[in-house]
Amino acid sequence: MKTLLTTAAMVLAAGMSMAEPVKVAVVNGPLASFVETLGGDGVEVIFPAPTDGDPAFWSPTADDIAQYQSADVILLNGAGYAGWVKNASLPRAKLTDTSKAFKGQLIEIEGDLTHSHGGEGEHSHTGVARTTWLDLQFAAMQVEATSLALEPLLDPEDLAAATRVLIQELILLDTDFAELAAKISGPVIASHPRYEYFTRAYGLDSIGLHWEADEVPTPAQVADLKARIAGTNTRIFLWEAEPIPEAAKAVSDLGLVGVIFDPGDHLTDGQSFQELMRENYSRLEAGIAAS
Amino acid sequence: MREALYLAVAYLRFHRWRTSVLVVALALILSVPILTRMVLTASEAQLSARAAATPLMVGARGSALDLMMNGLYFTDDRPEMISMAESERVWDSDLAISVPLHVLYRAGGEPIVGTTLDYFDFRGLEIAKGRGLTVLGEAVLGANAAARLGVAPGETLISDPENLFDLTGAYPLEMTVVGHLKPTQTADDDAIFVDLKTAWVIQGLGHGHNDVVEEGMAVESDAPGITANAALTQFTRITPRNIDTFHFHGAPETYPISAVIAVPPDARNAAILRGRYLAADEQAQIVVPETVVEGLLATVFRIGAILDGVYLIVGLATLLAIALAFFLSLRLRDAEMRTAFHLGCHRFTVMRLLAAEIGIIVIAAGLLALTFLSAMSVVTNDLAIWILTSAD
Repeated sequence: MKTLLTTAAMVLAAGMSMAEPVKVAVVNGPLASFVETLGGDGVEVIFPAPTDGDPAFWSPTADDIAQYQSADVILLNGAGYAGWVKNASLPRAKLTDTSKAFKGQLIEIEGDLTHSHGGEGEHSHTGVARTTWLDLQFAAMQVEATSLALEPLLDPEDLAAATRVLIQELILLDTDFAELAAKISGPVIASHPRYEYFTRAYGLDSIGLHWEADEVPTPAQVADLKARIAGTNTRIFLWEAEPIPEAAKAVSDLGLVGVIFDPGDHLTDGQSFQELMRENYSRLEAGIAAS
Repeated sequence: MREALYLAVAYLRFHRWRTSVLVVALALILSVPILTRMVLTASEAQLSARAAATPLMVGARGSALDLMMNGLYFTDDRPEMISMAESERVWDSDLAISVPLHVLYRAGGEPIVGTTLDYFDFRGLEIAKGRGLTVLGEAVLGANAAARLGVAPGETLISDPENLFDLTGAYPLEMTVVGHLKPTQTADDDAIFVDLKTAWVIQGLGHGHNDVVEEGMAVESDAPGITANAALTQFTRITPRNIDTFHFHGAPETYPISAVIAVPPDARNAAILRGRYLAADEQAQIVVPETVVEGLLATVFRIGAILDGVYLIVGLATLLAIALAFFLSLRLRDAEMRTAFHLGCHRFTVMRLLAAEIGIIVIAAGLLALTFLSAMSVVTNDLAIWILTSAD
């Protein structure tokens, strides 16, 4: 009913033609992928965040926000992702918080440090953990929310079929990750605070760091890590992206196996979210075998 | 008859000041009741149209009229504030689209209306110059407000302080005007629109400041809060550099709003939604503006009928006074009439002369009244809006 109301208002306001692709604005790669998978050619995804930064901490210009305002549907990740949203003027009737269904299960982070990546400026991960979709059951719920938001604007039968297939794929991935995680002994080391939902969903302990894949870890960081893994049987070190050789060496010198586990804030080369997760799965599987 | 007209015109021109007074007096007698009716009709049309275009309005229990006047015309009638939870309640009901309104402050004397972008879609407001709202601290001006304030897009506007003597009150906020709206001939033309969050910043519920710890202004930092010393100043202007420091304390659903416009898709949803506000312990009320307007209009019509009676009596009295003036004038002109009679004028010729004089005065007064009413008809709608929006 909510989506019907919303769509009625939008169609009324915009006088839009149903034959045109539905404009859907999103705040991260996974949502963009869900929309493209569900809507196919019937949708046009608006995601103006630059690919060389973290969309969670991106500050859009007035023109970027105007692009969001012009969309027929605006999908938010929720969980404090894309903090710019709280200070932007967006039409409530077009907004969908895709994590609303599991709002009570979001992870609170406390005592995190403020830090910066390159030219992005300082930011902090304090508050609520943002990468909700790394719990693939949550990702499936976000797909459901996306589907509900698109329902009045797309062919209902095609949408329902695509939603069913995508959710099945995600549930299968969820089962696979759960089985794979059972093979991991000891906590995994997270190079950056991005894996809270992943580790909780698959019963893993974790050691959180603030290492950047494109920066050489300082001796103090290495010494700190060494001290934290002493006495544990931890072996897996999760990188967000391909680390520079010096960073990779620092990890392997500690007897750890570096595994690239890309959260997928940005998806490139037309890759879908489920394809990326399957790649992450393969890399993690290989890492576990090598450890 | 031509001769009588010639003499009448000559006489009236000779006594031009006396004639002018008579023409103006008659024109006023004719035009004022008609003008009053025109304004009343325009007010009725304004009230009815705006109310009919606003299906339901949710607000605090109390005067439905205050709620409606504040929500539709942004008047100074201040209904008790409700919380943002009431707006979410409408959304969560799945029965209507919810458009929250925050009408509490003014800038340059014009009302600041804090709302969401849904209001612009709902009312069909379009940008004439500049662009729409995108972030905190921006304002879009209605057509009349833009003309009166003379603030162009890119320039700034400062909210009026609530009370000059309230040192603990919220700081006035300097807002950047980013656009002007196209005229709509409604109360929206007189408003300054800002995002709801900007209205809360003006109210002091949200603010931005330098990092308390980094700037060495923390005097206590016991978790979960930090107490800053008196050196901490809040930003009074929201810029791209400091916008990220703006934050709100407390749960958003507790923030105040004046009213919620609820837009159900059909009468069934409207009826169900109205039914949810009938409980005896209900803190909010839901009103149908059209029904409230009907009650108001009944009062207006009663006042209009009384005014008509007053105008009738005053008009008759004035006509009697004018007739008396004519009669006295005739007495003064007795010698003149007698001379005309001695010159051979028939008694009816003298009567025709007088009739021509009266006719010319009545026609001139009618033309003057018509011109006045034509001129006023252009601004009748604005006058009606002014009367509605300036009502305390």
